[in-house]
Amino acid sequence: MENKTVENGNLAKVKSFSQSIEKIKNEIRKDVVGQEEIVDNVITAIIAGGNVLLEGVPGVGKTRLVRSLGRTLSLPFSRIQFTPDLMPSDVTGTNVIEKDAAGKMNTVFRKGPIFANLVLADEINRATPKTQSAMLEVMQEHKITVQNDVYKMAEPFFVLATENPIEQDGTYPLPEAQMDRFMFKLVMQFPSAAELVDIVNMTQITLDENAQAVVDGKAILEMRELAKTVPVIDGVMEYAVNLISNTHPELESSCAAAKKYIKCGASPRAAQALVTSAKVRALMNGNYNVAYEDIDALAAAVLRHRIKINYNAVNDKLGVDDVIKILIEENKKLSK
Amino acid sequence: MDASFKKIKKKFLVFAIIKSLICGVSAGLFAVGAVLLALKLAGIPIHGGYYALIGVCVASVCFGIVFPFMRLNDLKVARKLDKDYALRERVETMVAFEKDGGDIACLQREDAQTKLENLPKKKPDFKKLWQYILIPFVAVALFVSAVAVKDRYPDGDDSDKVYAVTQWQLNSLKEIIDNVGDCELSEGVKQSTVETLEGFYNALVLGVPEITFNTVLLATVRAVDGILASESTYYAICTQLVTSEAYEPLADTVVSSVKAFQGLVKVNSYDAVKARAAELEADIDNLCRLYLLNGEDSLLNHFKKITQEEGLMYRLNEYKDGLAELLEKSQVQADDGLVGAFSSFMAGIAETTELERRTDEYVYRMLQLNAFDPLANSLPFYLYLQSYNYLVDEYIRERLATVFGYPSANLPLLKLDVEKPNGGGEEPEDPGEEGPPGGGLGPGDIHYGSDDIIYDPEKGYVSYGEVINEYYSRVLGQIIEGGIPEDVANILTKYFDLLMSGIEDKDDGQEDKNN
Repeated sequence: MENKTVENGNLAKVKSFSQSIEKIKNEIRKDVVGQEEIVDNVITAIIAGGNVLLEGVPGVGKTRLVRSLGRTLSLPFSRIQFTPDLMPSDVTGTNVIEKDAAGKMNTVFRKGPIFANLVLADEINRATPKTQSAMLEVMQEHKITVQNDVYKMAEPFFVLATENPIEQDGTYPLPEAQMDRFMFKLVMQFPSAAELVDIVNMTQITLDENAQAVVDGKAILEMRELAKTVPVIDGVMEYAVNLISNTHPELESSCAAAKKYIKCGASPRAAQALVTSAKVRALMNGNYNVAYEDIDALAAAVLRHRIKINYNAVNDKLGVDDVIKILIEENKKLSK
Repeated sequence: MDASFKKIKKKFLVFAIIKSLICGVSAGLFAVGAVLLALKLAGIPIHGGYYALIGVCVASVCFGIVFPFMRLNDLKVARKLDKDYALRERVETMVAFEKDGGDIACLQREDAQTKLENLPKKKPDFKKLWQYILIPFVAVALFVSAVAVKDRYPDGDDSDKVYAVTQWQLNSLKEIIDNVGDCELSEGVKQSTVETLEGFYNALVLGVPEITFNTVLLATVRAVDGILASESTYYAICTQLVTSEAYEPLADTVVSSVKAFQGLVKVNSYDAVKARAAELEADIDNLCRLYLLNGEDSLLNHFKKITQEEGLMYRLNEYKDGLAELLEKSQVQADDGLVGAFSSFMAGIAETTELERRTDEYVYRMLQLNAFDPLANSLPFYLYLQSYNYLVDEYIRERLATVFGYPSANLPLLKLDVEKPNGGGEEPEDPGEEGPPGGGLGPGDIHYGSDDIIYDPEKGYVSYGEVINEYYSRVLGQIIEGGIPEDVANILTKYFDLLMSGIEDKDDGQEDKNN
């Protein structure tokens, strides 16, 4: 087939993709020091249509990142501070009875903080499972049901949840079903000394956030649609699928490392998340096809909250990220 | 498809063809070298065209097998490019989605094509190239080595070369056969000898391998020796006679008479045989008379020096009995001429010892009349017969050596003399006691053949010594006709040669070969 000439409009869209991403990153850098990988992955997840679970000690910039992101993307932002006494209706909203001007009593739905494009669910593991489950429907289907009424979220809808890895007392670990609805789990590391110096210097001047809007929700949706068309060759697809399959120790075809170190493997959502996010990553980096390195780069973020390691890994002093690295190496060997 | 990709794919195709050719040619050279080396070492020559055929076939087959693996399709080319130049699966995606009309797919293709057009020049990977250098190098080295190796048989396999017998040789051999047929040998011996020679003749006509010709010739000579010596009963008799000093003169008489055929020059023609034969009987007669009657040291004079008072009769009887015992020990058949002559001699002695009148002179005269004269009259005839056999044997041996260019000095020795045992007069060892195994004919240290009893399918239980000559003749006949492999023939020939030559015992009882 002859090489079709790309229509100018579409070409512009493709070319603007990278430019938009660069602009977003530049704006976020004004408010968030360092954490380049976290920023990249969060942007990837937003464009891919996924949610992110962010783990980090207090004060590393989780909330600031989401707020900057909201401003940069011109998207309404809300923050939900999860506490043990938070009720589901506190998240979703509830019906209230109001007297109208005519004095008639009517039932009015008061929207909860979930009704935003960007939602920061802070310390989500502190809420009760009942409250956590209120997030399940909205994270997966981008809609909520309140007393048989279905309310759709405005797109793009993105939930960034945070977990405090230190204070585990009085917390409720997220259920598997909810964990699986996060595209990525990202770990925000403590900033380096140089970064800390920059942070301190920056906040000495002002605590205000300076990121400006550079794109809007519609652009994000367009970028999302564009990313879906990035081609993936069969080899890369098989590579991604094999990586997920290899996390299941009960399968005969899984590698020795999985059989040794993993208790539970990742769900099919992991494969979907991996390929979808790899497409976005490829485009973000100015590439027009998904490569093996895209899959490898995103494997940890996709898998670390979806697989459960067993005592063998603990005994061998291996964390979940170490096991994922082993799985990636095994997968590379198998694919050769 | 992109022009750059097509160009690269074409380059890969050329590489694949070159690599496959290298493998094919190497395999062909390797096969030819291996076959050539193997056949050269085995001494099997084949036409050069076969080597070429082997080489071409193996090279073609190898090329046909290797090329499909070496040849890369679009996808494999794409994967190789992505891997070699770290193109992030760009080329493979371009090939896999070449028909996709989407915007991203089009951009991806353009991006991949740009990369392909700007590929950096890659240095050849010597880690992979070395095998394409080493393999043909080894193949060429093997081929050259195989060519350089000398043939095991430079002029071809000598085992197949036939002795180039000339018509003159055949005619000469025929003449020998005819002469033997005309000579005065006894019928049985004559027929056996003629058959042996005719066997040799036929073998030459059919073709005797050159490498075994000498073996066959010597086998024929030994066969003839054996046949003609089969009537040499004198040897067995004299072997016993020499064990006692008293009978040594008698043994000397016999041996000297048999050896009378020998002249200053060896008999090399039938005319010489006839001429010598004409004189032989007279010569033997004279010898016998000299040794028995007329010589100063003759046997008769020995007895004439003993008087009655000194126990002449007793000494005669003792002599007669001793002679009888030795003749019995010789195991020569009673109907043998020599044995008959000696039997008459012993009868004459017995008759003499029974005389009533016993004056010395009378006894001496009667002894001569009864015993010695008859012996001197009869003995020469039988000794002539045995000597004539050796005369003909000498003719045949010398003539064969001359006709076929074989040094007569290298012919097997004819054993005519009887060796006297050390210390003389010792009793031969009893085969049942400690000594050489298998018994043995003959006393003393020399054992000839064996007196072991064997079972002959035709004759029943016989002494091995009685049939050994016949067995030897049969074996030699088969050797001449080529019915026995060479290595086996050598063993058999040595075996019989050993027995015919006798085995000498050392004092410590160890055997030693007596060539």
